[in-house]
Amino acid sequence: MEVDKGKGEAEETRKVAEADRDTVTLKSSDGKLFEVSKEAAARLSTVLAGMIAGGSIDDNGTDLKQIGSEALENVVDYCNKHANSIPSAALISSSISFNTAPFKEPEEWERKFVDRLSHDALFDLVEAANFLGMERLLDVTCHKISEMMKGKSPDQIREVFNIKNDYTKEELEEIRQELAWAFYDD
Amino acid sequence: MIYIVCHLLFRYLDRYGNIYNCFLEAHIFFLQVISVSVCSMVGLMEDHSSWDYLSPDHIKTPASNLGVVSGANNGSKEFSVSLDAVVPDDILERIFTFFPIASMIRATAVCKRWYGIIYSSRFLWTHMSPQRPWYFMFTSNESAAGYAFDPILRKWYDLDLPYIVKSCCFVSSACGLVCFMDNDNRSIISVCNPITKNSKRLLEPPGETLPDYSSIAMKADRLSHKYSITLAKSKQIPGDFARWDFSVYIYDSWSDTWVASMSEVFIGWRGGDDSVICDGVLYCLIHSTGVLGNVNPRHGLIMYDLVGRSFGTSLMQTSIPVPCSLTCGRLVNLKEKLVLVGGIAKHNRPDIIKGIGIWELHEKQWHEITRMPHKLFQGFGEFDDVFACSGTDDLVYIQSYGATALLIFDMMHKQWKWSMKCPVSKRFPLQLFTGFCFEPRLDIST
Repeated sequence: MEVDKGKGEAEETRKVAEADRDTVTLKSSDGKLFEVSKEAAARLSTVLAGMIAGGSIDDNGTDLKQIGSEALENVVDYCNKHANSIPSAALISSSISFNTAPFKEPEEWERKFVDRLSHDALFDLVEAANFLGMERLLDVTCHKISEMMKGKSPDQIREVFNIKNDYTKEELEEIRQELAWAFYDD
Repeated sequence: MIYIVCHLLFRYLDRYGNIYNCFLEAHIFFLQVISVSVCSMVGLMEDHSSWDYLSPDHIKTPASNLGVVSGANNGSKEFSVSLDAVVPDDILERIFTFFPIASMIRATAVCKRWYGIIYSSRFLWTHMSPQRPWYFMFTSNESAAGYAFDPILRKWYDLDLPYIVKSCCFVSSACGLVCFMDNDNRSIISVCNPITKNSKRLLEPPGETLPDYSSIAMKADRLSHKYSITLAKSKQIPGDFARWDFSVYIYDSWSDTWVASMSEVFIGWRGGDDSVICDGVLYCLIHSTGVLGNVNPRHGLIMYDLVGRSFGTSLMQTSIPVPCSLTCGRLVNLKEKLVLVGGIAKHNRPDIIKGIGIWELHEKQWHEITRMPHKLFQGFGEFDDVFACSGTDDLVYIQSYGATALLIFDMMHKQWKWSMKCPVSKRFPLQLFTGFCFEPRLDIST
């Protein structure tokens, strides 16, 4: 491959500029560009951290072909908000109850952040967070979904989340009888 | 269940000679034998009419900080695609880790895929949010039924236990398992998971068959699910008023055997019926028998290291007094820290309760955590000098034996809160209630 010397230099300069900048530009599947705090992106997303460290960030917008503009906007919004929020003691210590996983209670602003999303947007955000390796955002969004399911009967859950019932009547009755107390008010 | 009634009263009578209790006991006798005059029964019912119900005002249900139940969703925001089609198993697992146990069980009825994940995912159970302890309340009837309170969803569930038999009233729990001992001969010990109803009766423990006092305590390992149970027996040496034999036996689930672990003779003190294991140390409350004169406070705490087995050290010599004169004390393990919940006695009246205090033991020193506000104390109505109390994680449950009101203290937020009103109602004046708390888990079995 023939290398244009001038272009190579320009590339070099741009890379230096990129390294000095404190934001990175991300491009959604539908071509929209978003700026995000580099520090927050690297801290919150293992995938973006890897790209920043590996120098594969494109100043003209790093292509994230799997993520639509609405979801990416939420990701970026979340990162920028996170960059500005002071982590609370609760988040740092993450509650040391039991020696299994720490409990990840969302912060007030994180709650508000996911509360305003429609169901579809919430699920797109889960997918984006999963793709970008954003543990915290994944927990916050999954926590939100769990709250939407918590007080509901199996029928209501199927209805709200559009899930097919693949049990026979008899199978379902058996499950309900086994631990009847948990189903008493359905 | 009448045994519970008698037991609860008998066990304090010898210590306090409390006249009030004597009356109660006499009336229970009446209920059994129908040989006491009708007049006194009427009098009794009048005396204790306040036990019947608490006014609804007493059982406040403030906005829950203990957990959040999401409100109804806006119908217009429903999913356009099936959640099942877009969400991979690992995301579903992550969603389920945030579920309270009841939601988890209900979710198994949504579809086969969810059932499979909930009953077979290892990740789910190792990453699960800590479940706040439930309180199982039961009363003096013939059945094994009772109600369990879930502090996250703030609901009572109609749970029945396989091993609550008429006279079981020694209970200890750890990591989702509950251990029961019968009150008749104190040799029938069973373990069960109240959520799955999986249960097992243990081999009979060795040693003295009819101890005067005994207590059980349990610990379980969160990862291996192995558990141990300690049985502390106390028996007066025949013909000797001063000396009591105190011995500890340990059962291990992996060897399925009992081992005699230690024995010591106490002079002027005896073991009680409350013990707990925290961080590998067995703590037991001991009681002054009064033969050495007036000892104040009349309760002490002994510590027995189950790992090091405290060879050669006298438990009596290393015992420490409780922080102040108590009508009764209850030992609780909160995140492997020993917590004492005690009925604070009136000055010079060790049998009259004036309030309830909570202390934590730190390097053999008691630190007061809180005292129950007087208003809440009064909220129980009639409050005996003894009461039911248990706790795990960071919740302490307190209940008067005479009513179904249940008060919860949250150690983390330092908050007191009444539970929702228990569906059980009091049907006769002497009906007694008690309970125990346990961590709700689906994944542990006996």
